[in-house]
Amino acid sequence: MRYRPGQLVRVRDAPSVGHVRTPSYVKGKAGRVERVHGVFGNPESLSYGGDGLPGQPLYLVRFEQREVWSGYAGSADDTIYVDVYEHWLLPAENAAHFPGIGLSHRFARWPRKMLRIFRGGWLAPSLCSGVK
Amino acid sequence: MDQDHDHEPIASDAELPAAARARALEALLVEKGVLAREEIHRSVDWLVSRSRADGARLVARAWVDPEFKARLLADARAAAAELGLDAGPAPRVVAAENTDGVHHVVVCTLCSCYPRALLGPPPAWYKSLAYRSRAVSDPRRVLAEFGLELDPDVELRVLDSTADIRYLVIPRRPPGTEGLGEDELAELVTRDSMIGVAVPAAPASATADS
Repeated sequence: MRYRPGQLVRVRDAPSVGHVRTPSYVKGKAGRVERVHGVFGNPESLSYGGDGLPGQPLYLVRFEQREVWSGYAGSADDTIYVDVYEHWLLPAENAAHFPGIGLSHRFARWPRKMLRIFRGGWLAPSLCSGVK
Repeated sequence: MDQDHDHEPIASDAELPAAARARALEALLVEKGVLAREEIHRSVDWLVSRSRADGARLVARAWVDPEFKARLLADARAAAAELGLDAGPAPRVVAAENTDGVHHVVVCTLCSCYPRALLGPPPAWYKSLAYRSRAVSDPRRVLAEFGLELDPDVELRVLDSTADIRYLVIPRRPPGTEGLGEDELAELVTRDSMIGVAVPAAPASATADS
């Protein structure tokens, strides 16, 4: 297990290719590990008849709704909890060039968009992302 | 019966595209030897045999027994087994408790993950694109549409069951139910209250007494 409860993490902002269980709306967002569920077979392999190995630790991650949705209409304390596998998480401090926490959403995001273009991720196919 | 009129049989007209797809997939899986028809029927029988009654028994016991509630929150499968209930094969069930300050609501944005073993098949709206998208981005309005106006001071926690965990909400016990037994309490625990889009109402008699 790479992460502990209470630790700040950020969801990788990568394209979903194939059967991915990380919803698009938390990609690139920072949250806190709330609970470690244990190790499970990797669904990105299992769903295509693979063995799901190596197994992936699964974390319940807590996000502030206002961090996830710009213009969120509910209360400031509202939260959303999402189960995310370890290979979709980064330690938030390692994402130092994405200073999203505490800064405005737009300011934090645009340099990453540039990076994505340079990496070619911009053009990568997204077969199954978000709500299907 | 008079069969002598010229339209297609009603049955094929009425078949939904999803049902036709499921039938075609079933036929292929059976033909390829991946599944036996009996296995499919057993799974369907098991699923439709489940109902919200099992989840309601867990909640009612948690309301009357704080130590049981602690065990339910720590390990829902083991707690269900204590009552002789089957929390199902994988995936794992995790219970989330509503309190004065926190209200939980469950959604599966990616498909329709649901604690079927304890609640039975999910309602149609739970699987709808509208619920799955709006319950995460605008949950207070969705709850209001279900008739649940949440106090702005309450933290609304949306649980998106994206992976191997299924979430069961333990709603708050309604006021005025102190005199009720466990079975009567279980009657109050609706399916929607264990999804988090409603809260259990006190029975009319309890309301009248209080």
